[in-house]
Formats: sequence, C-alpha cells, structure tokens
Amino acid sequence: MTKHVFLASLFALGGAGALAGQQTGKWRVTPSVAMMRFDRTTSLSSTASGLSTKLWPWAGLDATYQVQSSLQVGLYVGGSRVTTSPDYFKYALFRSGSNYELWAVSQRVTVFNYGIGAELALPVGGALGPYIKGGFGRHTLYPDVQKSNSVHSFSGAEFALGGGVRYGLKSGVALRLDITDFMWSNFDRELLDPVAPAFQNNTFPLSNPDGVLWPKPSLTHNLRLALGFAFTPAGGGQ
Amino acid sequence: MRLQRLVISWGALAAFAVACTHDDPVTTPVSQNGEDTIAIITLSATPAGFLNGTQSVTYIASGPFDTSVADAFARATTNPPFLMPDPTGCYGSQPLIFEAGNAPVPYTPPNAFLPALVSGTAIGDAGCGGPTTYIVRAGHPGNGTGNRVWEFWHYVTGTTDPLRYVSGLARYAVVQRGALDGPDVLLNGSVTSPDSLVLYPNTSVLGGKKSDAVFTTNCGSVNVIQAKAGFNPYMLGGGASSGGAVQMDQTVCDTDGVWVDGSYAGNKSPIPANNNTAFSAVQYNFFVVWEALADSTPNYARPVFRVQIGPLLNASGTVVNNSYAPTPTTQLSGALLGPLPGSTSSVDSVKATFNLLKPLSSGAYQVWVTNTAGTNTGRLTGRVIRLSNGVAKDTVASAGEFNLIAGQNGARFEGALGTLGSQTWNRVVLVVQPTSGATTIPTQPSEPLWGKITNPKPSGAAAVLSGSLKFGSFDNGAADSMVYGAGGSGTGGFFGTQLVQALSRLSRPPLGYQYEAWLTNSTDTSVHVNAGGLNGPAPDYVSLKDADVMTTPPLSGVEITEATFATDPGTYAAWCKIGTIVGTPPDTSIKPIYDQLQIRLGPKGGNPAILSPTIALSAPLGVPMGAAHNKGKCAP
Repeated sequence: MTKHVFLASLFALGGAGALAGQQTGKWRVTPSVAMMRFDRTTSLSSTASGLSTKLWPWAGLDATYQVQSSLQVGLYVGGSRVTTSPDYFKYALFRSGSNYELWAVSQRVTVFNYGIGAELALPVGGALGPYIKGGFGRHTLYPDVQKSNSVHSFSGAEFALGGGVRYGLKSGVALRLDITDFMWSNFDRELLDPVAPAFQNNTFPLSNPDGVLWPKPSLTHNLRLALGFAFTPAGGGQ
Repeated sequence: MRLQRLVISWGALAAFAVACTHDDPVTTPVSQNGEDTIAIITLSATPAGFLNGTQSVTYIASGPFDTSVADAFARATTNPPFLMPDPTGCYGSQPLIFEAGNAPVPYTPPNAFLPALVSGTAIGDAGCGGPTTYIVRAGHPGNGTGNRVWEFWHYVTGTTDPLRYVSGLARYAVVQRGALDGPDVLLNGSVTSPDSLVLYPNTSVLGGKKSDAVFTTNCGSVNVIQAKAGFNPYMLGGGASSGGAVQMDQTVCDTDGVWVDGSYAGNKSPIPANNNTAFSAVQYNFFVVWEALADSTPNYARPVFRVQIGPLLNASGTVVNNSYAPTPTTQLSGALLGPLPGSTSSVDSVKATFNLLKPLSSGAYQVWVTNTAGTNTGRLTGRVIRLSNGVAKDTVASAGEFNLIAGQNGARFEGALGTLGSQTWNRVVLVVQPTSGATTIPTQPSEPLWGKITNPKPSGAAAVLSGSLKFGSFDNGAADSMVYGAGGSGTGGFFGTQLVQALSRLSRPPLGYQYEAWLTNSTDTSVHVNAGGLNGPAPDYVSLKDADVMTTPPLSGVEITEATFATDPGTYAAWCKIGTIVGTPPDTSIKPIYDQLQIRLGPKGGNPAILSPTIALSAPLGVPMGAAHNKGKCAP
C-alpha cells in the first residue's frame, strides 16, 4: 500500500505541476494537507462519544476548470494511511494449551477517495473569498496485505459536500481552508475486520467491545479539514 | 513560480513521508479483572438422571372369549403341572411332581371327564405330613445321588378292603361333547356335557407290572420295572386295600435309556410337555389308579384316582388346544380373563411409577390418559404414594394431583379408570400443570413421561401388562411428540470474575422444561447452587427460558443452535469455593466446594433451590485463574 500512496501522490503532484505549466488561465490546482475525522461507525475512528478526537493526516489534490467567473468544475483525489480501531470488532480468541486468550487486533489501511466536483464562489468582495463545493465519486480501501492475507480492496460510492474560504496571496496564488463531508454509501466496516471468522471471539461475547454492536448507517460522514495552496497558472484568477 | 514549486515540492515530500510510514498493527492482549488467561472449561453431553418410570395396567373382559385362539387361556407350559419342591420336605428342595399341589390331606382330585371317579376315595398321608402324591424323576437327589429310577408313590384312602387296586400312566384321547370340559369350567364354572377319555391308541397294550408295587433304587432288583416304550397304559404296580387304604410306591429304572431324561417334560420323559408338543411313544397325560379286575388288569370303568399331567389328545393323537393340565376346576373372573389371549378386554386400572421428579414451587403433577390421537383426555384419580429414591414416604388417597416436598423425588400412582372406562384410552401420561387444580390440559402441555397401553385388547393378542415410560414431550401424541435425548457441547471458562460458556446444538428441552446451570460437587450431592438459566447468543442474549416452545432463532427444529451462559459474582472471593487452589506447594488450606459445572433440565415451575435431577452437559470446573491469583481473599 505504501507504494500505491507514494505513486498516487507523485502522480497527483506531478499532474499539478504539469497543469501549472501548460494551462493558461482556466485551470486551478490545489494540493492540500488535511486532517480527516472518520465517522464513528467506520472503525477508522475511536469509540469516544460525541465527536471523535481520532484524526488522521490526509493529502489531497483538486484540479478545477473555471467555466464561469464563479463556477469551477474538476476532479479531486485524496488519500491516507490509517489504522483501524479494535473497538469495533470481536476479539481474536486463541487457544494456547488448556487456556484461552483474547487479543485486540487492528490493521493499517490505505484509503483513497476520488471523484468529480464543482465549486461555487460566493459574491463577497475583498481578499477572503468564500465558496461552497460538492461532488461525487468513490472511496477505495486497501486492507493490510499481511493481516488480510490477500491483496483485495473494496470500494463504494462517495458524495462530497463542503465549503471554505480562499485568501489570495498574489495573482494566481491563494490559500484555501475548507471543510468537506465525504459521505460514504453503505460502508461495511466488517470488511476491515482483521480476524478471520474462525478466530473471532464468540465464546466470551460479553467481553467483546461495545463497538461490535454499533449500527452501520447507510451513509457515513467523514469530515475533512484541509489547508490548500491554490494556484492558477498564468495568473488566470484567484 | 518559485512559491508554486516550493509548495509542490513540500507537498510531494509530505505525501512521500505519509506513504512510507510503516508500523505494525496493534495486537493487544485483553484482560478482565486483571486476568488475561482463561482456563478452558469444556462442557460435554453426560446424560444422566433422566425422568423415568413404569406403567402397568389391569384388563377386564369386555367381549366374547374366543376359544379358537391358540392357548386362549395362557395355560400351556413347558414343564408339567405340579412341578414344585416337596411341600412336606421329604424329598428336599429340588422340584418334583406333587400332584396334590398345596392341597391338604385328604386330597381329592377334580372328578372331571368320563368315566367318572369312584366316589369315596382320596389321597392320604403315608408319612411325610401331606398328601402322598409323588412323581419323582430319575436322578432326583431325594432318592439318593446317582440313582436311575423314576418313583411313583401314591397313598389312596377310602378304598374297599380287600379289593385290589392297580396304578399306571395312561395316554388318553378326549371324546368331546359340546364345549371342551376345561374351557367350559373356566368360562362358566361347570360342565354342560362331560367329555370322555379313551386310551390312545384305543387298543390297550399293557406295559410295566401289575403285581404289588415295591420301592427300590436297585435297578437289578426283580421288583423294579424296566422302562419300555410303546405301551398304554404303563402299569406301575398295585396293591390290595387294607384298612381302607392302599399304598403304591413303585420305581421304574431307566436301564435301557428309554426314560433317559433327567428332566421333566423332555422328549424321553414319561411326562409330556404341557403344550402343543407332540407326544413321544413313552409319554402319558394321566396318572390313574383303578380298581383291578381279577387278573389285576385295570377296570377302566372304575378309576378311583386320576390326575391330568399333560394335555389331552384328539382321536388322531394330536394335542387339543386349551386342554392343558391341570384339569380346570374353577371359573375365571372377568379380571382374570381380561389379560388372556382369547379375551376381548379393556383396561380397568392403571399403576404408574414416576422417578426423578422435582418438587414444584407452583402447579401440580397430574396423571391423565389419552386416546391415540390425543383428542380425548381424562384425568385419573387414585392413590399416590410419594417416594424418595424409590422408598415410600407417605400416601395420599383419592388424589387428582400431587406435588412433592423437599427430599421426595418420585411417586407411584394407582387408579382405576372408573367412569372414564367408557372411552378408549391408549396412553398414560404424567402432566405437569402450571396451576394446581387444573381440570383441562393446556395447549402444548408439559407431559414429560408417558407410556403406551393397548386398549381394547382384541382376542388373539397377548396382553401387554406393563411397560416403561418415555421421557420427553408427549404433547398429547401430536406430530411434535418427541423423546428427549441430551446433546450439545459448550466451551468457555473463567474470565476474570466471570464464568462463561458458549453452547451449541443443545437439544430442545421437553415442553414445560428449561435448562439451568448448576455448580455442583462431584462427591457430595447435597452441595449445589443454581447459577441461572441460559440465553441466546450475542447481541440479543434472548432468554431461553421458553426454549421448549420458541420457534425463532436460536431455536431450529429440535435444537438450540447457540446459547450462552454467564455469571459474574463480581469478586474473586466468591470463586474461592471453586476448584482447588494450587501452587508450589499446593495450598490445601482452602477447600473447594463446587467442582463441576452442569447444565440440567428442570420443570419451569420447579423449586429453584432444589437440584434438578436431569443432567444434559457437565464439565469439571478446574481452577479459576483469578481465584488462584487472589487466594489471599479466600478464607480458609
């Protein structure tokens, strides 16, 4: 998975560089760093009540094309490496001689999302330019190869909705701070369970984490707070 | 552009750093109450203590008696009649043929058949203290070890002096007039038209001897008779009446191996089997004493003593059905006729014994009868004898229901069908009623014990007078009626202060019964504690108290596919009573109380403090890790 992220990151940033060098005024590229707070039911967060404090670093890249003065459409891609929480899965039950032992097991997971989106700048004057954005695409997760003993991945639909502000630094260059809700459809956290069914603890069910019983909503909300560096080649706008 | 390149460069570097981060996923041992190791306790099926019982019924004749049924009166026997130890003790304890049975002196045999017995004679006592009517086989220790003589000893009183009398074995065929005399007596108490006895074959060829009878065990003596085949009658000596009595004690030696059998009723015994076995040439069905003619041959028209010792023959020499010895003398009552093969009869009363019951906190035990389809039911009223391990403790008369008290674990019920007898009942059933005084059987009743009874009994069928009871869910004989069998398994252990078992494939409990977990002591049955009931699997942990009637998971057909049991006293001190606290050296100051975990079956209304008797699964408890590590909390 490390290789995937590495290549994807290079591709994204390389693509951004290429766009920056080739487009003349219509394209805007925004690499960003972010913190992702996954939905509490995904097993990528913590089981703490309220807003989870478990945050993961995230890298993203948006490339949008200005179709009107206030409207841009384009592509987005992002990714990170996170660790599942053992608090959502039955413990592993191992037999050692005449004894049982329970183990909490987690795994590293590589997460990607990608799709197409649109951004609408709100008509406010000055250096700060608020905007709203939306889009749809897919999310793809790669479980740990050694833990899952396979190279399988699984994907699902994603909807994005968010907004932020842009602060122009100079011609064609701006800082962007936005918050986006990436909504994953029908996400099944059981696919991230690193323990094979034969080793899952069904003998001491009362000892399993409470998160095992947590619901699985049809739409999970994953909030991303991103700081981006937007630039428009050839000073085509801010 | 420099700024753009700078940002892109740092962005690429950051992505590279994230992509290359690597650490092993977290794998953490889980502990509970400070313990992370669980000593495994494995439950396995150890069926024991199942409810059980027996039932028996009495029949009463309720229809015509069919004498065409083979051995309709169940009187055929392999051995001859009157085979018994000598009641006087003269011949010791080994059985011999004592024709008077247990009758006192003087003994008069039944005067059946024609020619009729000359009146006035009887069997007297020749010295042993009872009627002298002996047929003693060869080799009988009463005549000395190793002897080869059959002895025939009779003492007839009321004889006429100085008339001579002779005795012998006779093979008679019957000339039947109307109903056969024997069945006539058994059914009606009297003979309408007496049958006659004629020798078979009908040409008399005397064997044996006509001279005075002499007892000797010396086979070389001229006084002994040498056994021969092919004679009828076979004379066994005689004597002249003196003082109104004549004694004939004659021995027959088996020198030539003709009467070789050392047993009675064998093929070479002069006494036939008392059943349909064809006679051999040496076998006879009567012992007779006649008045003698002048030439000492029998006066066949004047027998003075005649005892049937084998079945009658017909004119073809074949054994006649229902003509077995001894000659019947009294009419059979309806109750005695009821169970006989020739009888059409109905069940008259029921006795049932129920073992390993449990005292009920609510409800009552009742005894019911049902028909085959379960559509008709009737509650019995009768005497209840309450038992403790089979020993009667007290009796309740005319009880329609009963309960037990602590220390009692069974009951014997005895009741007549009475007015219920008009129905056709085919099962006797123990019903555990949820409420005392119930007069109807509820839907899906708790009927843990039941037995089949044949009612009515048709002629030609053997009566089944008793049988064992089945344990399970009778449900009035419905399609889901099933016999209970313990099955399933479980695994788990002590995790911290929690005792847990995950069970699979338990048999569905009988209707009205539930599974209970008990901690017990393998050597002291008085030590036990109810640890609670079972639940279904996570996440719902549905109570399995009603697993007997549930139709939703984890119930599937006749099984509970998954179940759990968990109990947690919350402190290690509570576990000090479990297992042996071991160490180096072993700490024997703390004595375990409970050393077994058992899954038992108990009635839902059972007293929860009294140990349920039926064991489905059990396992040794072993040593709780937490208790071992926290033994300081245990009081010695």
